[in-house]
Amino acid sequence: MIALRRVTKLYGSVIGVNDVTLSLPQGAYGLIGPNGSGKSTLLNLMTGQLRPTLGEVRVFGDDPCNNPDVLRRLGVCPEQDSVYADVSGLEWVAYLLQLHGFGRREAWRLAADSLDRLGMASAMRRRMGSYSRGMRQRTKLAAALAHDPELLILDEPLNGLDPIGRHEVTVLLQEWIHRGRGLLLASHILHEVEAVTQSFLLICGGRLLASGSAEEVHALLAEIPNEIHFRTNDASRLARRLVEEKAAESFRFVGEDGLIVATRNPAVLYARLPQWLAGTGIEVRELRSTDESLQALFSALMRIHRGNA
Amino acid sequence: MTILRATAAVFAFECRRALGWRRGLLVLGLASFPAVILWLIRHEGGQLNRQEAWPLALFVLIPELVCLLGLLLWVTPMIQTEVEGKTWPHLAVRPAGKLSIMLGKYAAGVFWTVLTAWLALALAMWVVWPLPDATRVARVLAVLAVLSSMTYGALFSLFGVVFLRRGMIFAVGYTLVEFLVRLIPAIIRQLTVQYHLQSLLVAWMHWEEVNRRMGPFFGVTTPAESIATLVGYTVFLLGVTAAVLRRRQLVTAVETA
Repeated sequence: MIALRRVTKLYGSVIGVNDVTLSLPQGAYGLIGPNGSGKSTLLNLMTGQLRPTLGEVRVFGDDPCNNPDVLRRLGVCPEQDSVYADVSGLEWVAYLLQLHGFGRREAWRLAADSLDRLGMASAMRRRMGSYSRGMRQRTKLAAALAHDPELLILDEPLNGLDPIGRHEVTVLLQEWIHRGRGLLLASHILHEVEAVTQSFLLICGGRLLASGSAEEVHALLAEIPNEIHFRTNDASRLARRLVEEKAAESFRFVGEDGLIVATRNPAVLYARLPQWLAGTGIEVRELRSTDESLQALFSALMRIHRGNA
Repeated sequence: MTILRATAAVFAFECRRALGWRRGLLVLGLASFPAVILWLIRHEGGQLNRQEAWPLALFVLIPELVCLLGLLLWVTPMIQTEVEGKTWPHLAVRPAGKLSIMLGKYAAGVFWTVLTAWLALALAMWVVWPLPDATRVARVLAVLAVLSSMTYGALFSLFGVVFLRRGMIFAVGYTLVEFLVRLIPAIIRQLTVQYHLQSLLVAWMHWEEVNRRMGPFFGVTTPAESIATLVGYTVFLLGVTAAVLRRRQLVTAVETA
């Protein structure tokens, strides 16, 4: 599906990706790395938006740069949280489908179906300027999925989604994989990826540091608790609720509405949180991994990679 | 076929997006300033003695000035707005993305510029009315506005794609240089767009006397040659723009290690 041979990408004297070689057969993969690790550069190389300074990129056996035959088979959701504020989600997705080669009528039909699938049925005719970040994210995903591509390349697709939205998109991606379609999901949050696929590629400092299954990554993470940052209307009640469910090891309160929870089972916490909070009146306004544990893992891997450990 | 259909989609999308009070005010502002200038000349008792003077003033103000300003606003920044707005990655990963975006946006920019120029022409003609041979003047200037927008639009597209953020500066700079080059009595001026537009004006207005007196200034090419040159420039410049855009790597967020 994707093959990179000794790929290096330089921005002037700055290295974006450093001597990456990998071969991914048809399947679902998570590309995990801290912010600034080279994930987006790698994805841009795979989607043909960047050319490697050295090495060779092949997607479906061909160079993806300016290659309509390859691009036709890809569905891409870039990280950039930018859409046209003055057009509706439906119009935008239909427009992108027309750039994909669909006729106007077919494009509008597929766009409406895709937005409906992403839970945007009631908002799809509104201007995107009025959308929340989560709605924009759903719209971008709808655009990537609408033409039913063979390979979906998603860069931080769960950014900005609320817990319910994350769950819905996770289920949708699981179904996608179940249908035998290809997926490459980039994220800096391990548990987001883990909920979707069990095959990981770990990237840091522009280098591919490790790859493997969920168990292998967990073995590396076993001694490092994961931290999750909440913003909520009632931090103390949320903390109490998580203690009742034995979902947290420790807490730190941050400001009036912030709560940082350390847990060894973040996947369980993410999966069950909506159910635990149902009917309690506790609102989670924001939820994100503080990611320090993953950063610690990457630092350790980098040391190993450089031969310092 | 896909490219043509996608280009038509971009054109329609851009035209729809442009429909709003902001674009309306810009069009109105651009279209009314030649009329205002001509009205001031008339109001101050200014007289343009020769018969050719008013059409010449209209030519300078509309196919040259209004069209260039419209193109600077709507064509030069066509790719830069997508890159700066971070919407480019969504477009560039589509099979017909890069080329159809360029062509569709170019067509939309030229379309709005021509509409503005025609509106400007109507208002200006109203101000200078009565005008001898008014129908011919209107017809010739309307066609010259189309040719001017088409050719300069292709040139400004290239500046916009090559220089991105500095595209407008280069476009303005080029226009000034071209104005000076056109005045040089040498074969080099025949390469300028203005030279061919003026040649067409003189030929279509049947200004034989002007042509005799100022032949070296206005030029001696036939209308067919001038039109072929302008169309050739347009096709060539759009081709170069497409080739440059195809080569450029316009990632909006450079993630570094």
